[in-house]
Amino acid sequence: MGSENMTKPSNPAAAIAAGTAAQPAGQIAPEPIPNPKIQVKSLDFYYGNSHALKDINIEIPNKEVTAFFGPSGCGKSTLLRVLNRMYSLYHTHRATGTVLIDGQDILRKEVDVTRLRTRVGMVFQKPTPFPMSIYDNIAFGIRMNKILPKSDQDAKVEQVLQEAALWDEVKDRLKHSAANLSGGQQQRLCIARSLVSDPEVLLMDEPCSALDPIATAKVEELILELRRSLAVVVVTHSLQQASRASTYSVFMYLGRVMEVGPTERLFSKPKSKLTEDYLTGRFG
Amino acid sequence: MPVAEENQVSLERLAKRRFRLGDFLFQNLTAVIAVLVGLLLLATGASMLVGGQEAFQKFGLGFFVSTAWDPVAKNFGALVPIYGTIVSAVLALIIAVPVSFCIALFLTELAPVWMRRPLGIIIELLAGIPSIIYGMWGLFVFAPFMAAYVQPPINDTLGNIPLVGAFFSGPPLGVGMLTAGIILAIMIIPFISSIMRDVFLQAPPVLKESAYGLGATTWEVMFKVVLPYTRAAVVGGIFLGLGRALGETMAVTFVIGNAHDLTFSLLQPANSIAAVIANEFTEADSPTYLSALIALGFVLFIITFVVLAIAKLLLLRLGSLEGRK
Repeated sequence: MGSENMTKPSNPAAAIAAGTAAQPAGQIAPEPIPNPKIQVKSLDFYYGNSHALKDINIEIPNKEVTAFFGPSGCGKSTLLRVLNRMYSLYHTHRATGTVLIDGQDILRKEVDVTRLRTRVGMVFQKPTPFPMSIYDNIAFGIRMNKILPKSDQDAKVEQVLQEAALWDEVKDRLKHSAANLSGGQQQRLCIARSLVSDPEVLLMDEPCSALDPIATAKVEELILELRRSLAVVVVTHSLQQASRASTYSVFMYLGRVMEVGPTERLFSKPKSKLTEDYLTGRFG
Repeated sequence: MPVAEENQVSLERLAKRRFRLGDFLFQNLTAVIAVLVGLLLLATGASMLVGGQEAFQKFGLGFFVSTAWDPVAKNFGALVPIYGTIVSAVLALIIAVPVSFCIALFLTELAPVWMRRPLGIIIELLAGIPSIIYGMWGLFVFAPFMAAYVQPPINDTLGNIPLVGAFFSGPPLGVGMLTAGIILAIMIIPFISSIMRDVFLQAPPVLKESAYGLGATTWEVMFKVVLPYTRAAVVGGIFLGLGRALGETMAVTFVIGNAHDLTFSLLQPANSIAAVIANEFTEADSPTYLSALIALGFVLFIITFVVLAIAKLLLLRLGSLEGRK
């Protein structure tokens, strides 16, 4: 229903406004997927009075890498921050609707957000090593969950550093400050740290935007590796990254999800004219 | 276009000439004023050194370790007031630091948003209360309260423990080291807590979020991530409070008891440098007496100068940390 309604293809915002309230022009209704890990239903999000997410309905598959992409300000990071209730730290941020993880609504007031965040890990745009040693950065996360005997804790530190493909680079200097690592190493340290609680979902907010191309390649490789064990959600503004490092894609625009689908299909045969325009660089 | 360029250049020249004299005067005026303040600081130190010269010459290094204070025999030692100054200030820190941390934590993370600003302002206003008022309140209200309700139970419990008991024995007089320490703590809590609050607010939100993202509680985020990240500035703030506690005169003079005896009991009257000077300047009837008081002032000057210098250095470190990122 997208392209036919478009009166001015050069102005997608006007095109969306030309659609009906229920189904803005250019929006393709997502198809249900089998065994979704996360189901978002009629989600609206507000920063104070600004309406940042509008009627989001998507399903996120388990053991895949799902990429949220779209132009700046389209709400992709906002949507990510709903999935582990990070927005709850700020009193002006408000979400309505339902977000089910394994069928359980995480937006309800009585949900234990501390517990939720051990199940849904998060990696940020800039590496955020804590002001302590490499070892303690990982151990910090372990101690959040349970107290382990020293030998088990050492083993766990090694395991997650291996998983994050960082072990060989840091095994001789675990007691050194994490601040001395390179940007790419710091980011992989943060990924390793978020794996200590054996999360079911890992959220990544533009994890490579502060990294050089080589470090980016390593992290992207790691992302694809991680999908064997958990659901990964990556926010990116880079189309190349979305196409390289994801298996499932969500295109967002002006606070709405416009199109959802397997990355290969969505990038080669977009159904929405808007998606096509964005992919071919006609706007954004 | 050479003509236009030429015009441009001559315009600039004209502007330069017009402002040159004014700039010159203004720049030098501000420089003189700024340098003058620095010179004043040096002059203050130097004149105290000169004024205290007689005492320093007469008593030598023994001045710092002698507990004597005998105006009749003209024999003076600085140990009792130095000890009192440092112990009362450290007591104040022991009480004020945890309280200030809790206040800062509450104001930055836990308090409902509508409450944060008014409560923060009220706490900052506490810093503006003149110290004479704290002193009067301490002497007329707080010291009798200490004598009646706090010191007797301390006497009966802690006072009976061997070794430690020496710090908590003696008749409940109300005035003394502990009372002075508590009053000082109340006076420096606004300083330390508002610095801690400002510093905590400077911690990058993404650092806190990544700790929250691992399932950390607010306490764990603050105590294990934000506090280590900001520790240099926090210690700087504590030293700033210490500097103030060391030099505080009026409130301490009222409640410390003004006794020239070296006693380890925190419940006994003691003395501090500032209190000695304030109390005895008018009574200094011999040049040696006066010189001893000025020498005490010099010692206090050096102690606070060093403490404040350390505080400034540590507070600067947070700034450079931020800049490096």
